[in-house]
Amino acid sequence: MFLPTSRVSRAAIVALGAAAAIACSETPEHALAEARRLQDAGRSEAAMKKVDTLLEKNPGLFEARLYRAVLVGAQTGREEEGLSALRQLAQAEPRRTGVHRAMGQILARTGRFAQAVNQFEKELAIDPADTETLTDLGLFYFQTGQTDQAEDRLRRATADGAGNARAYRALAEISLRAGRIEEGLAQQRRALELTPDDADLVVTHARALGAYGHAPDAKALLDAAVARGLKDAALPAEQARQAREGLDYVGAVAAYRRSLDIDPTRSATLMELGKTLLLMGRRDEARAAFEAGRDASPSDPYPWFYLGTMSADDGALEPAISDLRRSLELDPVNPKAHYALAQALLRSGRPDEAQAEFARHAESLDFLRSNRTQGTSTLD
Amino acid sequence: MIERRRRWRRRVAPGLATLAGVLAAARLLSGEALPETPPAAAAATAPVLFVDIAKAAGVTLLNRSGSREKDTINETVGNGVCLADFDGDGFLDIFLPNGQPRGGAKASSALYRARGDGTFEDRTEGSGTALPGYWAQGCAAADYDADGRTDLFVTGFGRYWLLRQTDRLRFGDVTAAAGLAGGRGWSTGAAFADYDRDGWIDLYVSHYVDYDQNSPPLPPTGSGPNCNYRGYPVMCGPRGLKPQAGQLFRNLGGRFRDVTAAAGVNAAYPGYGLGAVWSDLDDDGDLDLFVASDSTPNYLFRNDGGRFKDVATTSGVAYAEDGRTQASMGVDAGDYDNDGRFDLVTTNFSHDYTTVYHNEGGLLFLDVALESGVGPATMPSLGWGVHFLDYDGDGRRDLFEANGHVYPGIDALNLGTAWAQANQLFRNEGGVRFREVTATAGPAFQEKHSARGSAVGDLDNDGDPDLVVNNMDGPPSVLRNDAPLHRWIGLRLEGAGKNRAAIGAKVTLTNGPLRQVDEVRAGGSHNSSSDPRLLFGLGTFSGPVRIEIRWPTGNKQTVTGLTPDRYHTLKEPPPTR
Repeated sequence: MFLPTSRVSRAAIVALGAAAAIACSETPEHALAEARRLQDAGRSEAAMKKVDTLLEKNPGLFEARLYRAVLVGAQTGREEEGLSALRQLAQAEPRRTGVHRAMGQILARTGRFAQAVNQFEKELAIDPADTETLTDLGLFYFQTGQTDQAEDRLRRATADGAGNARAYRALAEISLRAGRIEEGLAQQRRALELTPDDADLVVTHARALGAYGHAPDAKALLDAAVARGLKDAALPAEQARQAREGLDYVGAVAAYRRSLDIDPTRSATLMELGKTLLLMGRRDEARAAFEAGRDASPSDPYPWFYLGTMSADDGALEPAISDLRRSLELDPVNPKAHYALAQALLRSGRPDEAQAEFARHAESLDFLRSNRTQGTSTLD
Repeated sequence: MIERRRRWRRRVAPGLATLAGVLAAARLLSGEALPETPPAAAAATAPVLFVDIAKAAGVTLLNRSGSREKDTINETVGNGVCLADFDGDGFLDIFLPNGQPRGGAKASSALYRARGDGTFEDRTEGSGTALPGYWAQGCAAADYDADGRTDLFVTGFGRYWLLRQTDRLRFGDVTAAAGLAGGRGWSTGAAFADYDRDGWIDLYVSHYVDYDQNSPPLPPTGSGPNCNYRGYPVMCGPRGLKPQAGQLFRNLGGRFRDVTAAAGVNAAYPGYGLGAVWSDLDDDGDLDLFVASDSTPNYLFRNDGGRFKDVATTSGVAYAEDGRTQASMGVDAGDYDNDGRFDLVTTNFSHDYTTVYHNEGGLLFLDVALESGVGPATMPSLGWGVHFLDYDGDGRRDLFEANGHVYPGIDALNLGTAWAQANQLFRNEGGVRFREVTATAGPAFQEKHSARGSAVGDLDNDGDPDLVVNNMDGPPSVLRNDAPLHRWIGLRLEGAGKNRAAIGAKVTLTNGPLRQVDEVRAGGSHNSSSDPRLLFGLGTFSGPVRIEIRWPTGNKQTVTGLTPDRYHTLKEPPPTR
């Protein structure tokens, strides 16, 4: 996701509360905050209803009109409607913040990047120190490969120690990709200081620490996050991954199971658990994990791949071929699946089909090698 | 232990040795199988123990391999071991190729002669095998010119050395005369075999990175994208460096000709070749060639009447089970499940497993590493030398691998692996699973080194396989096998033609329900060459033993009535006219 559509300047909301005089038990500030919460929870219709109710009582309330436009523009197929509403707001109150930024978000999401940049820059012309817009613009430049511009905007967003975890995180990624490892790790640390309970960021930083030679620090970071009660399935899953990197398979399995206690259908965890059990020779348990992963995420090619290879190992060639073909339907350039399928076809007396798969295996390997990027990407 | 030493002394008693020689000569003339050693009393229930006797036995060459830091890849591959009875006294001698230190004095390789009492004497000086200043890698021992003496081929940086044994333990450099001179880059594993069945043993030499010691230098630590390991700067390669293709040399009667391209041993793309082994993997009577290739697909060159075709991919041995290339350092071929077909094993990097390829027949192999138990147990290990060996004489091939990392700084990374590692021993359980017995295999398996090449052979002629391991930057290990003895039979084959050592002969031994096969080889493991004799454990089976030999010439011979618990020399019957 490029930008959360529910974000509206917190300062504006505070101002809204002070400005509006509403004769009801819920202030406009609270109503708008509740709408944002609903939107963040994926309940878009309820959020819209909340804003509409607010606007019925306060039809001229700028912040409510802005957020309604944002909500409309966030809906697929209604982007133009949202943009139109935002344009009206911009014409009515050209110096108000948040409008151009919201337009930029919609335009970026619909692929009109030049126009998006234009809107972000207009927003910055109104408020050059708007860290959220600077961050949005920086992220946009980063994701479109314009690293210099991205770094410039993100550094402005974080100037004088301004607090913006997203900006620090993106800057960290730029630094790491540029080989400025310690700088990148420090920027991730700063992002974590600002949002210590962001489990995804904890995992990202732990991975970067591990990848760049600080494995003990990575372990300590994860352990501390779990110890202070941060409950997210990604944390024990990352603990498990790191345990496996250190060849502590028993520890890895235990941590994967803790992750599944939090989210029993987390397909990535089920997959990794299966792979670890397979490496331990615990084939029955591995198969069960792969089957659960397949059921949790039928469009994931990898459970099919592992189930196929396990069937092949067991001599069940037709089920193996079926599963491996399904895996390749979902991921046609997985060289491992082509190879395993070729082997299974060969063993089942279909040498011509096998040869074709061996050829695809070689092509896939070449493709992956030619597209391999160096370094560790922690943002994407 | 005491009993073992007593047996050893008994074997080397001069009177017995002389008497055995007279009896052998008499029976050779009659074409009978020859017992060479008196029967050994089987130990009762002694624990399985391997003891490192290197220092006590006088095998003390200090291995050198560049800097301790291992800044460049040439410092990391290390040296092998050659075991052969060079002086023909019935006991295996040891040749240890050596690398070079960075700067300082020149190091030498070493030749140790077995005294027959469990100790060795350093016979390097004057033998012509020291090769001072030459950075060697591997070796293979065989009688290439059919003069009855075992010669020595040495690989390394810049050139080959073919050392012809001209007199007892005296070798002369015949590299140029034999057609093997010239700049040779970086050669590693080597293996002799008569691939074209003309009687003369030919030679395959693996090559690794295209590297000239003199120029240009290898890229230094951390200097590129292939110079980092999990975020840490390490020596570069082999990925990112240009590989060098292996070479096949046909023996034209003491002179070699490069037939790499003509014979079809020029693969579509060169890999980083290390271990090489000749074996009749498709059981069609000629020898195929498997080459372990680091980080690139392995080669399996199928021999089609003297022409080769790389069938590794379709045979299932180019990659691991899931289509990944592996680090593929050492290799061995052996029939671990006694189905009559030679399986393969390759050693690999840490965080990857040692791969056991089961031979399904029809030149199709399955990677059974995980199911066999070898895979999970070898994930922490970075393996080099490897052997299928029946260490306990129960009639099933067990597994040994020599381990050691390539990154001296790996210990600090908490990755579950280390620079110095214990070697590993696996017991074959029913031909299906291997159970790791390292922890109970005796003090030698508790020692940690950064091991590289290894060779297996019965150093004390007591019927069980011992091991010699070349350790990087340290003295070697000589692992004497003090396992409780089952009954056994040892065979020394003698070919009728130019291939006197019968390299490539396949022997099938049947004893009750046990049916084992083995081949005579000269080259394998990692940069090494093992005992050319064949050793079969008979377990608890007491029935008659039947030996069927398929000689390299294609002749077949059946021998029965061999007495267990001794070595026998079996001579190929002369061709009938």
